[in-house]
Amino acid sequence: MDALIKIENLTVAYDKVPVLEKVNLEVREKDFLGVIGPNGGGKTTLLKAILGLLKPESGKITFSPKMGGRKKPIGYLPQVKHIDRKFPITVFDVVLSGAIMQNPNKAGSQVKNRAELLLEEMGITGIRNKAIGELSGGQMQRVFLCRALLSQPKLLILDEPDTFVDNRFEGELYEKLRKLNEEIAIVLVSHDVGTITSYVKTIACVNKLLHYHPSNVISQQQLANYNCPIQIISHGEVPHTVLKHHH
Amino acid sequence: MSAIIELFSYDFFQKAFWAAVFASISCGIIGAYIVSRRIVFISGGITHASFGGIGLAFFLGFNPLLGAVLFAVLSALGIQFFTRVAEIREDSSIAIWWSLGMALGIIFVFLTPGYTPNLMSYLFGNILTVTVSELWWMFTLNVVIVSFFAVFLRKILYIAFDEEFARAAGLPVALFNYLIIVLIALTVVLNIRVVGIILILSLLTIPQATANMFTKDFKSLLVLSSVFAFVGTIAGLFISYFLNIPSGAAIIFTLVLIFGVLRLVKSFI
Repeated sequence: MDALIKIENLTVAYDKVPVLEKVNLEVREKDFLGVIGPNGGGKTTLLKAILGLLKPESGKITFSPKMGGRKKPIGYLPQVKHIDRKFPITVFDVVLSGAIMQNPNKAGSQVKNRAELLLEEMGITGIRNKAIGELSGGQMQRVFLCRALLSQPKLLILDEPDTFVDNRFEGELYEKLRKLNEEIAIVLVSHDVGTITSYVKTIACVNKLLHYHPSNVISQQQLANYNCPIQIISHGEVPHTVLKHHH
Repeated sequence: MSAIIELFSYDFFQKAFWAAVFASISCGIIGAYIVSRRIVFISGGITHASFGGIGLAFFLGFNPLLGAVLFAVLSALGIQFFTRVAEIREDSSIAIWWSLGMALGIIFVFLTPGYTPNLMSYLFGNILTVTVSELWWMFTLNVVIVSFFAVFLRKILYIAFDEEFARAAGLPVALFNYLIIVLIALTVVLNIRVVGIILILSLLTIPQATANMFTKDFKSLLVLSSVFAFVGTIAGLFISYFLNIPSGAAIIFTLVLIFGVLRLVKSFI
């Protein structure tokens, strides 16, 4: 299958200090890639490079024509901690901002209808006119998911969507992602390895270097080999794919 | 009542009235943007830096507002440059430009031979001495600001709310930021005559704080801020006239009073 995004020999540096070094990665259609790694290991930097927010030092990122080249919107869900909760904006306007290049008030524009439908799907039509600051963590996350999906992207990128979210919504969110994954590719950054391994199909460990792991079962030993110093915590309620036993 | 009607027959008061209208619209809109984006401190820096231009104009003998525009725009771009390119912490670069402008102003005024009579009206404003040509400049600025915000409202909102997302989607974020910072600089300078350099921040923040109590919607905030700015400015103007106190200070006192009273009322309902 054709790659939606092909990253070749990508090096990204801040002040000449490389954060990512010679990274190679392909994201194919209907992939569900979990990106894990220690804090400061370059997870968010990788996402920002893909989104075109950071200029690479060297290497290149190519987008398949299926993505519509570089201009095609990628669905992006940023870390919620970067959002100014006191900003005077309503939920509906946040969702509409997902189709940033389109004027929702133009005659014949489908943007508003699509936004309404997304709100309904996520079960948050009731909070449509609320200010962003009045929402709970789970509601916020849903609003930003609606925004990311409004442009009908072929690829959805999520940066730590499980922070500040209660356990119940976390489960719902991953179920929702599993469903979306039937149609589109998903790249998910998370620190919560135990939970994501039961949903993702493949794993990338990022700690300056990137190690691609073509399955969702990963052991502490393999993480050590990848030089990816993170702990795998098994959550009681997620029994299926946590980890194989290694002796 | 008749005293108020009589006031409107005076030429200076008619001019003051129009100055109040124009100041309210421009400061209402630009202030709402500034407050939403939390860049009040930048605006303070630009405002005070413009004093350097006023000093330079006194020294060289040209129109002080022109000098102020020059220094305001330069410092606005300078702050952006220091922060983005030279990677100096933003609050520090603001403080550098803020104090540099004031210092240059003081030096130039000191070097200017003789007494500079208008200096006080630039520092503290005097809406009652606004000239017709200044009114035309204010009117033009209002047309520019209102059209810019009307045409690009959604893009301005999206960038202000989540700049990174806007950049990822391909909006020319840097261009918008530079354009708006220039508009902020022009707004500050052309409204200096109304409340003065020291006090202009009030028109950019107090009506917005009042409006923000009643709406959390960006577009309504722009409109409502202008309305509260207008009510406060006009009421302050009357108070200033009848009590014979300086207009700039009277306007700000009224703006704060409106905010305080409404805030109290709201906390009891």
